Amino acid sequence: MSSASRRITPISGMMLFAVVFYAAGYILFPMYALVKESLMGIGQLSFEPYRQFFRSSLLEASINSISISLLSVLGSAAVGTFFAYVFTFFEFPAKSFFSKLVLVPLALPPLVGVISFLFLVGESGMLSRVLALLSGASPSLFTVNGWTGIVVVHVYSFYVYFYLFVSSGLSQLDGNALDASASLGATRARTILKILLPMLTPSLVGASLITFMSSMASFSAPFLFGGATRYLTLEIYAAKLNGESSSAAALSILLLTISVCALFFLRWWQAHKQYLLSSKGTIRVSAVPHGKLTRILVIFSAFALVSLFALPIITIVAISFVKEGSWTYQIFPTSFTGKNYLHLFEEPRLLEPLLNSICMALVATAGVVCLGVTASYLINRKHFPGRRLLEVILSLPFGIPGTVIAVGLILGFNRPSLFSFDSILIGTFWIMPLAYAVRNLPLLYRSTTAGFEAISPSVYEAAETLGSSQVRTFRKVIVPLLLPSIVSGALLVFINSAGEFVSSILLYSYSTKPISVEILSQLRLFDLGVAAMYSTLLMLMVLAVAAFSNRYSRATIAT
Amino acid sequence: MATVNLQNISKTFGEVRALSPLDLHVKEGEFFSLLGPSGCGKTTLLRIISGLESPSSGEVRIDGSNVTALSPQRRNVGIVFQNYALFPHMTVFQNVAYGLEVKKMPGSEIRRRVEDILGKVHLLEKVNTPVPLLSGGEQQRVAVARAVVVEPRILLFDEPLSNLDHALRIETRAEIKRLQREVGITTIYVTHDQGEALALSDRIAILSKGVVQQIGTPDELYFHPHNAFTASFIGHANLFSAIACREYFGVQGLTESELLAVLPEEIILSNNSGKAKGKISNKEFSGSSVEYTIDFLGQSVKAHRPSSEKSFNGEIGSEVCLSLDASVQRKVKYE
Ligand SMILES: Nc1ncnc2c1ncn2[C@@H]1O[C@H](COP(=O)(O)OP(=O)(O)OP(=O)(O)O)[C@@H](O)[C@H]1O
Ligand SMILES: [Mg+2]
Repeated sequence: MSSASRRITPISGMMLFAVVFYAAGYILFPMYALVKESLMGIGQLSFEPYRQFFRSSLLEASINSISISLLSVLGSAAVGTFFAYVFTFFEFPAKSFFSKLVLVPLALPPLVGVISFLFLVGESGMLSRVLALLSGASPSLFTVNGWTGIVVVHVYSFYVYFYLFVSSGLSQLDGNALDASASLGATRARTILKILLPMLTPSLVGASLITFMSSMASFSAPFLFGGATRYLTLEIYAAKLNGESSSAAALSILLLTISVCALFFLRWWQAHKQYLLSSKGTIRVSAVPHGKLTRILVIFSAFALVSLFALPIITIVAISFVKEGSWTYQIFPTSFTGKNYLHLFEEPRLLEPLLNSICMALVATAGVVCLGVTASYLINRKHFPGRRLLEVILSLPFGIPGTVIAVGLILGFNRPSLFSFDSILIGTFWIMPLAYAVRNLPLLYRSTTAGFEAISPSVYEAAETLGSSQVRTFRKVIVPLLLPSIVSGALLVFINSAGEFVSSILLYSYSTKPISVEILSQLRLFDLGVAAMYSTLLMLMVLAVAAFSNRYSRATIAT
Repeated sequence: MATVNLQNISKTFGEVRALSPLDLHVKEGEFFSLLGPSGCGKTTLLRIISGLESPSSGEVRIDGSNVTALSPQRRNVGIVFQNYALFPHMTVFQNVAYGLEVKKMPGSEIRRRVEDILGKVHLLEKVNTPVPLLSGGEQQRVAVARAVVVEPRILLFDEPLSNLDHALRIETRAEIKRLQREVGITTIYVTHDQGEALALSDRIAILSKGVVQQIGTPDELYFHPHNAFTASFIGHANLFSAIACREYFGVQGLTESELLAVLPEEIILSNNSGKAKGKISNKEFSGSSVEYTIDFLGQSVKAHRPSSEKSFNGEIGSEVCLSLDASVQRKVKYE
C-alpha cells in the first residue's frame, strides 16, 4: 500500500475526530468521573472511600470474588478441556449433534442461564426435588447456593471458553508429535502430560484469563444465586443503590484495576507465547489409542454431561407454558397453557419491554457498526500518531465489568457535559444504548480488524492503480470484502445488547424498561411463566440470529 | 539391527482400500525405500510397521518375532516424520533426550549420548536452542538425532526431505546415508522422488495405488522394469505399442499386452529421412545433455542426447527422424 494513501485526508480527518471524540467522551471521561468521584466525592480531596477496602465486609467481598473466580476457572477448565479432548479424539454416534449441544451455553444470555439453574437446583428446584425423591434424602442436599451455587453457574456459563480454545488448539496440534512420543516409548499418560498439555498451554492460559475476567465481572450469578455471599460487583451495586457514590466509585476502580491487569496480561501472553513451528506437509491428528473400557466410560460420561447441560434450556421452555398461579408446591408444574405468549399480543404492557430492548439494541448496533468500522479502517489503514494508543483505549471496555461501566456512565452523565451535548443523559432513552455500545464496540472492532488483516494489501494497490479514489476504494472494494466480518460482529453486538442485564439494572428508567429487567420483576412477583416466556423469546432471538449468521457466512463463502 | 518381514499386510479405511495385501522382506542393515506417487499408501505402510496404525490383515515381524499386536511404545522403532514433529516447547537437547528419559537412563549417560549424536549431525553448538528458532534443515537433523539416539531396531523415514529446498535436499540426503552407514541400522525410507530413492537405496519397492509393482535394486528397476508403471516412473521411459514397434522401429515379437520401454537416452535422433518422423515440440539444455520433447504419432516422446554430440542439431518446430539403439529389447507388461 502506498504511503500516500496512508495519509490523513480531510475526510479521514473528520472520521478520526469522531472516533477520538467517542474514545475520550464515552470511555475515558466516565473513568475520569469514577476517579474524581472516589477522591472528591465529598467535596474535598479524601482517601476515605479507599480506606473502606480494609473493612472486613469488603475484604470478604474481594476474597470471595477472587476465590470464586479461581474455582470457576478450575471447574470450567476441567469440563471444557474434557469435552474438547473427547470431541477431538473419539468417534461416537451423533457426534456432530452433541458437539452443537456443547455450545448451548453460548446461546444463553447470562441472566437466562442463571434463572434456569434457579428452576433446576435452586431452593425448590425441580432437579433437586426429583433427586431427593429418588434417593430419599432431604432436598437441601441437592440444592446449591452461596459459593457452590455461583461456581456451578459459572462453570456452566464459562466452560465453553475452554472448550473452544482447547478444541482449536488441538485441531492445530501436530498429531505426529504425539506419534513421535509414542514411538519413543512414552506411555499415553506421559505423552499427555509432557507433550500434549505443554503444547496446549497457550490455549489454556487464554481461556483461564477470559474465564477469570468473566467471573470477576459476573453479576447475575451472585445476584440471584449467591444468597448472602458478598461479591465485589454486588457491593458496587449496593453502594450505588444506597447513594454512596464515592464508595461505589472506589470499589469500581478496584475491580477495574484487577480486570484491566488481567486483560493486559492476556494481550501480552497472546503476543509472546506462540509456538510457531512451521509444519508444512500433511498433519494427521491420529486418535490417541485408548482401551475399550476407557472409551466406553469416557463417551458415556460425555453423553451424560452434555445432556445435563441441555436441561436448563428445556426447563425454561417448559416453564414458559406454565399457567399463572398454578404451580405452587408440586415438584413439576401441572397445567400448561399458551396464554403467556398470547398475552404478549393482548397486553401492550407485556410487549413493551421486548420492543424496548429490540429498539435500544438496534440503536446501539447501528452506532457500534458506524464507529467500529471507521475506527478499524483508520487504525489499520492510516498512519497517525497515537494509533496504537487509540486501539488500546477502544478495546479497553472488553476487560471492564459491566457494573463498572454503568457506574462510570452514571457519574459521568448525571450532569451536563460537553460529551452529552450539555444535557443530562441519565434517565433518558439514550443512556442504555450508549452503555450497550461502549460494552460491545470491542467485539465489532475485533471482527472487523480480523477482516482487514485477511485482505491482502495488493487488493488496495490494485484498486489504486486502477485510478480509484480513496472514498471509492473504501465503498466499492473494502466494504464489500469486509461485509461478512462486519455482519457477524454486528449480529453478536445485537444479541448481546438485547439480553444485557448488568448495566441495564443500574441504568434503566421506568419508561424504557428492558426485557432483562422485566424478567427479574416477574420473577420477584413469582410470575414464573412470564419470566420464562421472556427468557425463551431471548433464546429464540439468539437462535434466529445464529442461524442467519451461519447461512449468511456460508452464502458469502460460496460466491 | 534387525530384519523386517511383512506378510499379507493390507489396510482399508472404511471404504477406501489404502493397501492391497502385500509381502515385503527387508534385510538386516539394508537401506530399503518405498517409492510411489502421492496417495499410494506409503505413509500408511510405514505407520503399520511402526505400530501407529494396525493392519486390516496380515503380520508384521521384526527380527522374526510377531509384533502385530504390540503398541508403538514397545516396538523400539525410530521414526522421522515429514514435518519433523519436534516438540515445540522444548530445546534441541530436551527433544533428543526425551526418548532416553522415557527409558529412565541416568542423567550423565543421557548427556553423553545426546552430545554424541548431536556431534554426528553437526548441531552441538545449538544444543540449548529452542527448536522453533532452528532453520528447516536444522530441525530436520534434530528429528533424525531424536530418532537415532535411542538405538532403535529399525529406522523409518517418511519423506524427510520434502520440506527442504533443492540444494539442502541433496546435502541432507548424503548426511542421512552417511549416518545410516555409520550406525548400520536397518532403514525403511518413504519418498515420492525417484532420484532420491535411486541415490540412497540398496533396494526399492515401487508402490502404486496400494499395490507393490516391483521390488529390486536401483539398477534392476531402471534397466529391467517389469511393467509400464515402473518403467515410466523410474526411468521416465517412453512406451511404444507392438504395432508402432513393428511398423516404425523394426522391432518384432511383442504381444498385444506388451509395450516396449525405451529410456530417453536410448532414442537416436537424426535429420535423415526415415519412417519414424516426429516434430520437436520442446528443447531444453540441461548442461550435460539436451532434452528434446517430440510429437510422434500423437505421443510425447522424450529423448535425451549428450550435449557433446554434434552429429544432430534440431530446433523447435523442425522435423526429426527417430530410431532405436539395436540393443533395446525391454519388453514390459501393459500396466
Ligand atoms: N486415517 C485415514 N482415514 C481415511 N483414509 C485414509 C487415512 N489415512 C490415509 N488414508 C487414505 O489412504 C490412502 C493412502 O494414504 P497415504 O497417506 O498412505 O499415502 P502416501 O503414499 O503417504 O501419500 P503422500 O505421498 O501424499 O504422503 C489415501 O487415499 C488416503 O486418502
Ligand atoms: Mg505420506
